[in-house]
Amino acid sequence: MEILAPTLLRAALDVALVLAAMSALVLAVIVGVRLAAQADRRREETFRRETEPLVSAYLAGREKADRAIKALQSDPARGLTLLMEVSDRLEPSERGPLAALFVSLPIRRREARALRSRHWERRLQAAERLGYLGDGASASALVELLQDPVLSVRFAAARSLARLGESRCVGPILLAFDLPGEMNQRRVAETLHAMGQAAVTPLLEVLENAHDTYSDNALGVAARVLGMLRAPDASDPLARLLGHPEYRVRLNAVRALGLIGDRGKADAIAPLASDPAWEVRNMAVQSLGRLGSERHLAAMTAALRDGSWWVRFSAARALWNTGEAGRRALTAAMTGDPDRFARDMSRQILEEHGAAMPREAKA
Amino acid sequence: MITVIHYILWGILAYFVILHLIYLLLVFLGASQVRRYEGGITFAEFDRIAKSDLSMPVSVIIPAHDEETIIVNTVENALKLNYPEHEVIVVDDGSTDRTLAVLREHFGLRQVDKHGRNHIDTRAIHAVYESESRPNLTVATKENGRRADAINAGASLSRYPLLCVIDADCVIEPDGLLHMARPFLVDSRLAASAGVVRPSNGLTVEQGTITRRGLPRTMLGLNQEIEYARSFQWARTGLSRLRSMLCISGALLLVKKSMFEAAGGPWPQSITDDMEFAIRLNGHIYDRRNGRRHALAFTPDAVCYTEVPEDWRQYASQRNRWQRGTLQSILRHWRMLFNPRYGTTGVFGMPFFFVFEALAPLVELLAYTLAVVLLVAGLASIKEVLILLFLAYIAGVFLTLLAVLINESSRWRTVSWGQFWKMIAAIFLDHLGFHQFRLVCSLAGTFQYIFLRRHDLGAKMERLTPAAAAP
Repeated sequence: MEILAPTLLRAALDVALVLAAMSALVLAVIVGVRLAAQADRRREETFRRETEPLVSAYLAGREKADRAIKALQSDPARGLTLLMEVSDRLEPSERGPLAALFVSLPIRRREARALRSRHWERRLQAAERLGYLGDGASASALVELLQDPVLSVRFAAARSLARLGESRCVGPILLAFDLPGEMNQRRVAETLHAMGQAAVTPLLEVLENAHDTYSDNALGVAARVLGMLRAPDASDPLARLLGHPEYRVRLNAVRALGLIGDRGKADAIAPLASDPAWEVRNMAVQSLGRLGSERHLAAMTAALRDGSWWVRFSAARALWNTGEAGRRALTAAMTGDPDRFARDMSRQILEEHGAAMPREAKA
Repeated sequence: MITVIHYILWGILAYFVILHLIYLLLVFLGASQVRRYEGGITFAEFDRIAKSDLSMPVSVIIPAHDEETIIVNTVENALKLNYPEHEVIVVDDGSTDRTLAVLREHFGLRQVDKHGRNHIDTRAIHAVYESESRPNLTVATKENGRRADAINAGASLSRYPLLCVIDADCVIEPDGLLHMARPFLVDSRLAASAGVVRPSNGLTVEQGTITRRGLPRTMLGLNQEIEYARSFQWARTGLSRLRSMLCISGALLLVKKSMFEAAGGPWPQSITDDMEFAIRLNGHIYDRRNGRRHALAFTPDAVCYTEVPEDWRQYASQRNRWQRGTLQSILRHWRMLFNPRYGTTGVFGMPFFFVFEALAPLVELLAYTLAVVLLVAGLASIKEVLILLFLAYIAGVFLTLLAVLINESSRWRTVSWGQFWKMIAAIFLDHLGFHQFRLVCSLAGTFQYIFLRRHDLGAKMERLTPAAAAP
């Protein structure tokens, strides 16, 4: 009986030789990829060295647009990336002159077509680029893209709409991102926040018409964004949401009121320091701390005894932030509160700010 | 007898073919995963995350035991990470050297009466310190209880919803945390994200900042460079696609605190706590009874550098420990093996890990023994054995070259031409002694774990000269 059949050995040798040849090929490809990457880097450096000063000079008014446009058109893809970077470095109010440069790039049609690409990565890229190109005509296509099956593509479309200042799209964006989960809601909030003050009126309309059209998720996001935008007109509608049955809506409303800083709403916020949801209690004491409401020291002090570590922590920080009276209340809690957890948390925060001497190290 | 040898030989060949076919599959999955990952990154996305007030804050936990020569650099590096909001918690796990003293001197620590939520029991924390100059630094000192216990203690002191666990000898790229956190923003189901680990030998780090990059100078260090590249560039990337990333390096892990606590934190008695915790986390996440509402991600461009041994004795000790840790982790969770309740993880991941990782040294030993037996018994010629050895050698070279190709095709850091050719040379030399040395270490580990019940952590790794590592 033959242990190693000759055919097996021949096959093993053939496979090994094929693998050796393929290894040599892969090595050659690696070297080729490296060389190509090097050449690409050199082209990129040359392009930037020549074009960036022209764009800067144009923005500073020292140069006409023609030269910058010509340089950008020599390599439209690199030109677009460069303009996107420059645009990100500028304040929104300073971006106006860039529009002429973006318009000059002959890639608008290509990007608009790419919104219907089979590859989601390409749709994402196109959605993003159209936001920079400032192409209002593409807005309807971007709105359609809010229904894309890939979440990242939908977000790119929403960001571009926000960048284009399409405030009429606030409603469609909220409807497109009716998603559970804190992170998703944060991302939508951030996207709408990028729209700036233009988003305030449509968001207030969302609060008014919430029951008919929008889910609790959307309502929560709208409340959150109004807070991020520090919209004073939103105080009253937000205060009305403090009694909403869904805790996430109450949470976002109380957070927004704290950010807006309307001290007149402290009375409405205080009862939420004993809300059934710990997240709401936590945010309520944080907001009271932000408002620096000395009239509600009792509510904040009571929260030092809360069953949730986070509420106790936020209450102690809120007291610290509420000026001298709050710090006195915190010191009093550290020494004389009947609750051990309240005393411990007060001590932690006071020590953190160097206002209390540490106890002896625990054994 | 010859029939038995015949079957064993065919078994080994089948094992070899299946293993390499799976590796090839992982290469393609890894490459496609990298493409998808890169395609999904939007313009200036990391800048946006860095500036966002809404990014999830992160608690970076650094367990340290007798790390006086490097700890300051590591903490400086962690404090300098580009991230909107993060705190650094160093847990001095009963060091017998000046670890705590150097931290106190360098960062101006003062003792505070701080304690967190104790979801997981740990050894007693003696004292907690905060820095006067760095408000986001906390240092705790506790009774020695191994790395896992220190991580659990750090987690109890943490404030933020994401925990990033790194080793005390780790240096993270400035944007590493941003890259690690991005998957959590993209996918709200994500429970944990793991990053790439590379040897730090050859890097120059000053005040926590990488000032010069290079490769390890010794052949042993270079060998580990390519080993890490192979392991992270396609193996983990591909395995993550198959929901089978059962080995997550403890050198860089970002995990939701809620999931960390739900899984029970790392097990203090484990030999390799990162591996054991990764398996348990997988079990928790992909258990049908838990609803499979979460996921794990591998982030191929979040890079952390860790010191690898360049001394053969320490290298042997490390590999011995890894093998014992692998066996312990798998045997502790044997119920997951071939268990459809855990989905792909149970049906593919665990069996793959067991058969092709834990048992690989034994199979390889069998193969070498068989080759000798065949030669001695005159059942095979030298030429025939050499053909099979050449096949094994070239298959390994081919797969490693593919890992390099993936790396070079991506937009990640590449090395200079000189270093590149050194790496290529190391690839060709890997199976000419280095691999066999690893095999011997793993076999010793297997023997010691099964027959001697050895559960210790082996020799402590001696750090590189303080002159190179100190700030």
